[in-house]
Amino acid sequence: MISIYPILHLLVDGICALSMYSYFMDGDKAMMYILLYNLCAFALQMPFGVIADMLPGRRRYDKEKHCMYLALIGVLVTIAGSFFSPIILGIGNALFHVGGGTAAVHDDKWKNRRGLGLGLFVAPGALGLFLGSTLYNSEDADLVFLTFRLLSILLCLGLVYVWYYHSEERKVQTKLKLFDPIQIKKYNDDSKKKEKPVFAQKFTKGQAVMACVLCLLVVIIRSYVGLAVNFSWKEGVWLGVMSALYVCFGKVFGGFLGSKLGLFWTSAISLCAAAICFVFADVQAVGLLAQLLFNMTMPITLTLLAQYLPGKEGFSFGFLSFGLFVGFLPAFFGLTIPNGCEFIAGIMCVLSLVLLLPVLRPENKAKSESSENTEAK
Amino acid sequence: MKKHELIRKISRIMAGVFAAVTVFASVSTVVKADVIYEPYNDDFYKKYHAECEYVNEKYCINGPRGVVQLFKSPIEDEVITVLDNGLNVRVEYSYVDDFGTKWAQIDSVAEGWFPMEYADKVYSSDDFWNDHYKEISYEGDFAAPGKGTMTVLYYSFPGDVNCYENEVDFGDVEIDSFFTDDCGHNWGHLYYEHYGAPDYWVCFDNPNATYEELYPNGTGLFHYEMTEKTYSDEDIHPGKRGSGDSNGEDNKGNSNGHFADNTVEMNGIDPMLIWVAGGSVVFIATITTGLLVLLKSFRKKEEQKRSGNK
Repeated sequence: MISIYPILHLLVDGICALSMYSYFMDGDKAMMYILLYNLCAFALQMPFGVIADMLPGRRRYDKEKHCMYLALIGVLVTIAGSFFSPIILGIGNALFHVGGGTAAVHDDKWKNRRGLGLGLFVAPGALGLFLGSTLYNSEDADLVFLTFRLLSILLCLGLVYVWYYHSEERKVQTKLKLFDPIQIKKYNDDSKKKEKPVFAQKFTKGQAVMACVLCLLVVIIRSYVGLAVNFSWKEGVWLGVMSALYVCFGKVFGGFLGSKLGLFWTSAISLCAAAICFVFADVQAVGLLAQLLFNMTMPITLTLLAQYLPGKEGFSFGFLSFGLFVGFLPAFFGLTIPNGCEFIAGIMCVLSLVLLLPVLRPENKAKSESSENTEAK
Repeated sequence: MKKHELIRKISRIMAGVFAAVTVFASVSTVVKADVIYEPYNDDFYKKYHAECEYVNEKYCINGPRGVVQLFKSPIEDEVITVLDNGLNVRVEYSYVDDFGTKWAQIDSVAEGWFPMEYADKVYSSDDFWNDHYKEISYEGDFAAPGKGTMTVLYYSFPGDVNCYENEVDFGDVEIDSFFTDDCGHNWGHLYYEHYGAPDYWVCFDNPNATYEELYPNGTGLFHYEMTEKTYSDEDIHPGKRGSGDSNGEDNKGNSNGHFADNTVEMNGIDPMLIWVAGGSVVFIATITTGLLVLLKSFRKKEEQKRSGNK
């Protein structure tokens, strides 16, 4: 079920880009519409995330269900918004992101995949946005629009179908096991093991607040750099495709390496390498690599904050999306990095790593402490 | 196949694909091989030549307050010199910046860039050749005005208002093109091997006649007359929004999914946008704080309920 969300993400972002460029970017109100769309799509994820956390039920089953409903409502509102207003469009986008993103955070926690699912979920957004912004003025733009909308609805139906199939299966399994007391005990033990978030470590309030502030700063920096750097070689559709693919795979790799190497090493390697690449970013291939490496921190920060705020997965996801909006504002108001000064982005990478280090440490400490305890036992 | 084997296989395939794509990207830079003039002393052109468009046309400077500043590049606010209105320049290349301002590159009077809208295109010899190539003959249709050295008036093209006096040795110079205008005047184009091919047209019927003498009723060709234009209050400078249309094709989306191709110039920000952005951030932060307090009380009640049940 979780694999349907990334495809829906691509389609939803594609619909938003198509609508914005086709209907809402002309005329005097274009700037206001861009601001309102981004405000609704990104900043509103923060309160929506808290609402997602407030929904009743503590079991995995309930959380998955609520996230799915939020995402489904988000898709439908997005489709409705594409006809009427950038505000509705943004609200729909925000609801979908909170639903899908929180589902990915929960899934990662239950399966102890540090950011893999999140990376897969967030990655296709860049592709969807690129497709929408490229295809909106093509001859078959209407057909593309229709295809995106229909596919979204079909995938929503698919999501509901898979959910109910999954739910029925669970019920049957539970019923079968209930007849055998040994199986019931085994089943209960297994489900307890499975449903217990693996990295639900306890952090002090101060640590959690520090993690919030530092992760937010890192996200603001990433958002700003992503918008403010204009690569001199970035021209034409082909390089646009390449750029979108590198951004997309950067996020996937970030999640993948995060689950393999751990958050600390993934952040350190990717940000140091990105800093070096940004210095030589006027060379096309190096610039593309810089984008890939820099975007690897996206699932890392999301996972990290979710670790620090157990039980507030929706808020942690929405809070960092709010950071994306804050990072967008300086670039929107004209504060961009001039051509030939890509090294500033390299400095930002180093700064991001410095900011992340204090919050990455407790994870390692806690890990080593827990391993020491295990060894002692 | 075991799970970790599958992951390893997928990671190898992905690494391979990326290595291949990276190598392909590194060799896929646009190779430009043409014979037109390229200003290799211009650092900006060297870096952004792929985005520059070849123009090679004559323009007349017509900027606000009688002058136009010539900048080092469309992104550097360094003034090279000041060009007076009425000066004819040959624009070699043009470039459209992120704000939609079209910049013109010249290297005749001085090397630099100025906003294209501060100049007017004038009818030039290129236009003349393009408009009359069918009527121009390359055979010796009529004889030169003399055989020795004589003083004549040079025109850039038959029917040009401007002319200047020069000495020509008709025994030495090659006449490579011939043209008869609507008034029946025979013109010859002089070709000097050592000078390349500048446009030196001489009216063979009356080599010392001015435009007014040749065409008392005008030629019907377009002649540029400088008129005063209206400009926005603020002069266009490198790195700032001009009054042209924004093209902004390259920056449409970004890694975070924002729409940001229409950034606002700092000096010209609509205060309404600042109020909306700032106000909304504060409003959303307040709402979220309220919701978090509510969430905390919910959780507390839930805990109490659970401990009560136990």
